[in-house]
Amino acid sequence: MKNMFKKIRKIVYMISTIMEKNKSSVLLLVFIGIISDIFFISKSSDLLIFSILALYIFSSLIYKLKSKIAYFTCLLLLSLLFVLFLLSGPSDKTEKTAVWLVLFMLVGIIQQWRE
Amino acid sequence: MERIKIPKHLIAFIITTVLFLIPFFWFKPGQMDLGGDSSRLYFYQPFEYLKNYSLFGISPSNFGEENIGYFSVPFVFLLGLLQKFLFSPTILIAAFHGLSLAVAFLSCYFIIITFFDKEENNVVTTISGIVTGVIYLFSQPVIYGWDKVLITHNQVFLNPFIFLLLLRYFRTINVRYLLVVLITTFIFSPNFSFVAAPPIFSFYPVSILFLLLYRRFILKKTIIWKHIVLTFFAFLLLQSFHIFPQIISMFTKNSVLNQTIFTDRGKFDRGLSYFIAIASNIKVSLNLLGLIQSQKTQWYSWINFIFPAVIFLAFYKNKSKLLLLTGLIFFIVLFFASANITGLGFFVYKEMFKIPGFSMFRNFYGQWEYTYFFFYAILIGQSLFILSDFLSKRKLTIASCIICFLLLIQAWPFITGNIVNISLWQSKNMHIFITPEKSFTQAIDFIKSMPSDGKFLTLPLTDPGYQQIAGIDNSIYQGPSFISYLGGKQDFAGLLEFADYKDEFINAVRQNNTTGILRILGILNIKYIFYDSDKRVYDTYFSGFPYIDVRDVLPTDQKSYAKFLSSLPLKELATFGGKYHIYEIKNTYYAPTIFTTTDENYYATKINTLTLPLTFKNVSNVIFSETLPSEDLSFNTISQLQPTDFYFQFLKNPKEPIILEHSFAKTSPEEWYYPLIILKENMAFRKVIPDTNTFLDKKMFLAAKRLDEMERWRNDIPVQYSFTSFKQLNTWYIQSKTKPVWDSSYWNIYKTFEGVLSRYIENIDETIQRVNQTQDTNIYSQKFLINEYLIDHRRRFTNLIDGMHQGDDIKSKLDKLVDNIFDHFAKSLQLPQLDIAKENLVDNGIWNRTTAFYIEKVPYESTKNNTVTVLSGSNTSVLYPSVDQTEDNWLSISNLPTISQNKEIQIFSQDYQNILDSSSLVTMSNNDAGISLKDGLLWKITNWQPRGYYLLSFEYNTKGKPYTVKIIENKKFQNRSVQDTIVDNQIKSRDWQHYQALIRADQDTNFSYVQLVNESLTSPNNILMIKNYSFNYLPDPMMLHLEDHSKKLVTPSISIKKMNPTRYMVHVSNIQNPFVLVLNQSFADRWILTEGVDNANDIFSPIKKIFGHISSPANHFVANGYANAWYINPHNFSNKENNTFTIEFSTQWYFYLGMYISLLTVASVIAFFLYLLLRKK
Repeated sequence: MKNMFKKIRKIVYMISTIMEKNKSSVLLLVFIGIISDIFFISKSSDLLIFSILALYIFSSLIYKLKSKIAYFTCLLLLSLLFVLFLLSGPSDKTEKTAVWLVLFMLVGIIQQWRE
Repeated sequence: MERIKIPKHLIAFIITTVLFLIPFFWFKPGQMDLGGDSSRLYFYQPFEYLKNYSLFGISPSNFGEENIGYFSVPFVFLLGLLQKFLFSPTILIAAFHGLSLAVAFLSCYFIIITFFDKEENNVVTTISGIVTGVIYLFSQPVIYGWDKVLITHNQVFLNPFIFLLLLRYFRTINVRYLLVVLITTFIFSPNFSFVAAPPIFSFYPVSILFLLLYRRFILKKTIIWKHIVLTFFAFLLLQSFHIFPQIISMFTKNSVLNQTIFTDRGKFDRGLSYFIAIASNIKVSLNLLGLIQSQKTQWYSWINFIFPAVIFLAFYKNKSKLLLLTGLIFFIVLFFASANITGLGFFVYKEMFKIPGFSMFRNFYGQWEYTYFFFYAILIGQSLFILSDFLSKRKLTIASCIICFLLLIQAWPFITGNIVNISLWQSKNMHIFITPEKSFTQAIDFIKSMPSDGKFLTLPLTDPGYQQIAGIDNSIYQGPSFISYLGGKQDFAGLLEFADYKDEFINAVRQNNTTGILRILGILNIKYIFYDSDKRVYDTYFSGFPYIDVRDVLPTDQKSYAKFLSSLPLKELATFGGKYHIYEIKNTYYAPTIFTTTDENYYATKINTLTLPLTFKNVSNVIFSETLPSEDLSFNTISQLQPTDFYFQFLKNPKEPIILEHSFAKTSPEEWYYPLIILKENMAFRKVIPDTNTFLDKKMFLAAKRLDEMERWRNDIPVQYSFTSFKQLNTWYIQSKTKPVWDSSYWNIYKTFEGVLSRYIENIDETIQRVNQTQDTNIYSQKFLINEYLIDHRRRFTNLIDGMHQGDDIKSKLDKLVDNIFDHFAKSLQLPQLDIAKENLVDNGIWNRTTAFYIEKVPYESTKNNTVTVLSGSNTSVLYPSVDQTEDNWLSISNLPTISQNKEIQIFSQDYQNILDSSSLVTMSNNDAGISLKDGLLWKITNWQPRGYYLLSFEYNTKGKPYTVKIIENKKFQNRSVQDTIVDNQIKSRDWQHYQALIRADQDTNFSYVQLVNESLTSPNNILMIKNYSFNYLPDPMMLHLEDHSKKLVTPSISIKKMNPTRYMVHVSNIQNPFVLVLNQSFADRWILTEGVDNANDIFSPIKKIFGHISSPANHFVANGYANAWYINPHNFSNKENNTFTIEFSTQWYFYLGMYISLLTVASVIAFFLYLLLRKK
C-alpha cells in the first residue's frame, strides 16, 4: 500500500514537473480542447468537458493562476456566444459555448472565494 | 449655479407610481380579466367565490369531488373588503395588478439599496436599484406571464418583497421584519399552499440559503437560530387552516395528491417522462441572455447580450465576496432552470425525480423562471454597482438609461396591455378582457335564488369543462363555470366532466335516444339546463378549441342546438336578454341530491361498461351497485358472463392502449464509463426480486435501451465481425464474457455493435425464459406483450440497418443476422395461434330455477348463423335462437336447463364467413381510400360492425424483405371523416410464418381497409407470398343471468336541510324496514353519516368530532357508479320510526380546527408586533 502511494505521488510529481515546464503548451491544450469541443465534435462528451476542466483547474493550481483568467475566458466565450447566436441562434454550438461559459464562471467564483 | 438636490428615493418612487398606474390604462370601464384555468372570479364577486368554493372542501362543479381550496380564504376575504371600498371589480383588478408591479419594483430596488447601504455613493446605488427592478419586471419571460394568471402568480411581487424583509432581518436582527413576513404569508396563503409548492420550493430554499451564507460569510455575524425556528413554527401554525386538511388528503389512499407524491406513476410517468420530453427544448444560452424559451428569437434579441456582458465584466473587476455569493446561488438556480448543463448535470437532475414530490418540477423551466429572473436581476444590479468604480457617474447613468430604454422597448406590448388582453386560441379574434352583459348577471342572480336540489347542464357543452361567456365588444370569458363558482349550483359544462358516463352520454346523443339521455341526466342529478344561445360563444367564432370533440357528437351550431333542445322535455323557467335560457328538465328518471330507496340491482360481477346498468332494468329510484350491503333489501343479483380471457389477451387495440415503455439512451457505448452504467443497471435490477410483470417491464426497458443506443450511435459503434446467425453471435458473446478483463477482446462486448446487440438479445431471452417458466394466469397477455415489443423492434432494426454508413455486404449480413435472431425469439416465445372455431363464456355463479338469462340484442342479432348452448359434461341445451321475449336492448331466455354444476356457455357458429371474400379488392389506380401507400393489396370492408371483434389471419413468406400489414378504420362523425390506423405491423421472413391480429372496431366506425404493402422500393410486391388468409367477425354479445330477490318493502320519506355543501340534515319518517340513503355527490370515505343533530352554535363541535370517536352503524358504499350510499337497518337505530341523520364531509372539521389555530396565531403575531412597536417608542 505504501509503495502504491509512493508511486502515485511520484507520478503526480512527474506530471507537475512536466506541466511546470510547458505552461504555454498546457494552456494552449485547454484552449484547443474547448474550441474543438465547440466546433469540431458534434456530440457532447462529459469525459472531454470534465477532462479539460480538470486540466484547467490543475494548471491553475500549479501555475497559481488568478480567477481573473477564468473570468477573462468567460468574456472570450461570451464574445464567441454572441457571434454564434447572431449566426445560428440557439444552435448546438451556441449551447456548448454557453455551457463552457457557465462552467468557467463557477470555476472563477470558487477560485476567487479562495483567493 | 447651485444644483438642485434630488431627494434620495424620489426617482424610484416616481417610477413606482408610473408602474402602479400602468394597469389602469389596460382596462376600459367595466372590463375585467377573469378567465383562465383557475379563473379570477374572486375579483368579480369575492364573497360569492368564498361561499361557493374557498370555504368548503367540495368541488362546486359536476360530481362534487374533494377539492381543497381553503388556502384562498384570507386572500379572497381581503379582496372582498377592498371591493367594498373600491366599488368596482375593474378598479380592484387594475389596482391589484398595479400594486404587484409597484411592490415588485420597489422591493428589488430596496434590496440593492440594503446591500450597499453603507456605501457612500447614493447615486450609484439608486441607479443599480432602479435597473434591478426594471430588469426583473420587464424581462421577456416575466412580461409574457400576465395573461390568464393563476392565483400563485402573486409570487411576482411576493418573492422580492419577502426576500427584502428577510434581508433586512438578517442585517438588523429586528424581529419585526419576521412578524411582517408572517402576516404577509397569512394574507397571501395561496402562495404558501400545496398549489404553490413548486414556486415555494424553487424560491425559498435557495433564498434562505443565500441569506444565511450572507450573514455568516459576508456580514460575518452569528445566525440566531432561535428566531428562525420559532418563525418557521409560527408559519406552520398560521397556515394550519389549509395544511391540516391537505395532510389528511395527502395520506388518504387514492387521493390525487397521494397518487402524485407517493406512487411510481406520479414520480416517473407524470414526472420524469414529461421532464425528459421537454428538457431538450430548454436552452442555457437563452437563459443567460434573459430570453424566453421555445419561441423564435427576434432580430433584436442580440441586444440582451448586454446583461451577461455586465455580469462577466463585473466578475472580472470584482473584489467583493457578495457578488461571488450571488453568482454561486445564480449558478444553482441556472442549473435548475436549464437542466442541460453537461450530461452529468442532467443525470443528477433525473435522479432527483426519485425524491417523493420532486415530480412537481417536471415543467422545470416554468417553475424556476421567477426565481431565476429574480437572482438574474439582483446579479446585474450588484454588477452595475461594482462597475461604477470604473465608470464615471455620467457614464453609468447613460449606460443604465440605455439598458432601461432597451427593456422598455421590449416590454412595450406589456405596457400597452396588448400581451395581457390576448386573443383566445383558435377563436375569431375574441379577447379575454370581458365586460359581462347585464342580462348575464341577472341570469346568475336568478340561478342563485333557485332551490338547492338539482345540478345544471351548461350548453353549449365544451370539451374540458370551461364555460364561455361573451361580453360587450369582442370579448369572451373562458374558464371555470360562473354557475358553479358564483351561482352556487353544481354544473356539468364539459364533456370530460361526465367522467365514466361520457361514452354513454355520447352514444345516447348520437342515436337521438332521448330516453337514454334522460336516464343519464337523471342519475347524475341534473335537473336544469343553462343554455347560452349567443352565436359568439360557438358557431364560427370558435372553430376548434374548446369544442373539438363535442362537435363530433353534439349540434355543430346554435341553430342545431335549438333543435336539439326542442327534442327534450323541457320547461323554460326564465330567459335573460333573449340568449340566456334556463330550463327545467321534466324527467321521470331524476334522482334528487338525497333520496331513499329499498331496491337495488346488485352486480355480482364487475361492471365493465356502464352500458350494462344503464340499459338493463334501469328503473327510476332503483340504484345499481357492485356491493350488496344486506340481503334484507329488495334486489336482483345480476352476473355478467365473463368471456374466457384467452382471446382478449391478444387484442391489438385494447381500450386502455398498450404503452411500450419510453426508453432513452444518454451514454454512448464508446464512453469509457459505459461498462459502469451497465453494471449499475444490473445492480439496480438485482436489488429487487420483481414479480413476472415487473421483471418483464424492466427487462424490456433495458432491451429497448440497448436498441436506442444502436440507433443513436449506429455510425459510431464499430461492426467488428461478420456473423450471420444467432448461434455464431451467441458463441462469441459467451466466450468473450469469460475472458479476463485485461484481454482487449473482453471489452468488445461493450464497445462493438455485436456486443450491444448481444446484450439486447440477453435481455429479451431472459424475459421469454421467465415468462415461459411462470405459472401466472395471464401468461398469454405477457407473451403477447413481448410479441408487440418485438414487432415494434423488428421495424426499428430494419430502419437502423438501412441508415448505417456501411457497405451493402455488411448491411446484408447484419440483416440476415437480425432475421435469424427474430426467428429465434419467435421459436422461444411459442405464441399460440387463435382458433375461431369456438368462443367460450364461462359462468361460475350459482344457477338455480329462479334464474333468467339475457343476451344483448343488437350485436348478437347481426350474426344470424350463431347458436348459444349450455354445456355441462354430456348435457347440452340450445338457448338461442329459441327466444321467449325481448326487453329493451336484451333478449330474455327462460327455458334454462336444470343443471346444478358450473356451466360453460359456448357460442357456436355454423359458418364463419371470411369477410375478405365478400369485400372488394381495391386496385391502387382506382382507390378512394386516400391512403398514402399506393401499392400492394387493399381490401375495403363495408360489412363492418361497430365495437365488433375481428381476427385477421394469414401465412406469409417475404423472402427477407419487409412488408407492412395495416388495418385502417374509417370513423364517421357529424361533419367529418377520419382514418385511423389501428394496426401497423411489419412482417419479414425467410420462410413461411403465421400472422394474426385480433382487433376491436371503434364505436364510430362505418367501414375499414385491410392493406398489405411493401415498405420500400427494394421490396417489390411480387416477392410477397401469402396463403390461407381470413378475416372473421367474432360475436361477443354481453350475456347476463339474473336472480330475482325482490320483496315488498316500504320506502321511507325524507325531508332535507342543506346547511352548506359539506353538511346535510336528513329527517327520515315512516321507517318500517331497512333502506338505503343516497347522496348524489362523488363517493369519498370522508363523507360520514351520523345519527342525530349536533348543536349548530357549538363552535368546538368539529374539534370534538376529530378527537372523539365517531362511528356510524350504517354501511357506506358506492351507488350508481359514483354516489355515496348508506345501508340503514332500523335495528341498529333503536327501531325508531322517525329519525334524523347528519351527513358531513369530515375534511371540513380539520379546516375549522386549523382556522381556529391560524386566527389565534395571527392575533398573537399582531399583538407581539404592536408590543415591540410600542416598547420601542
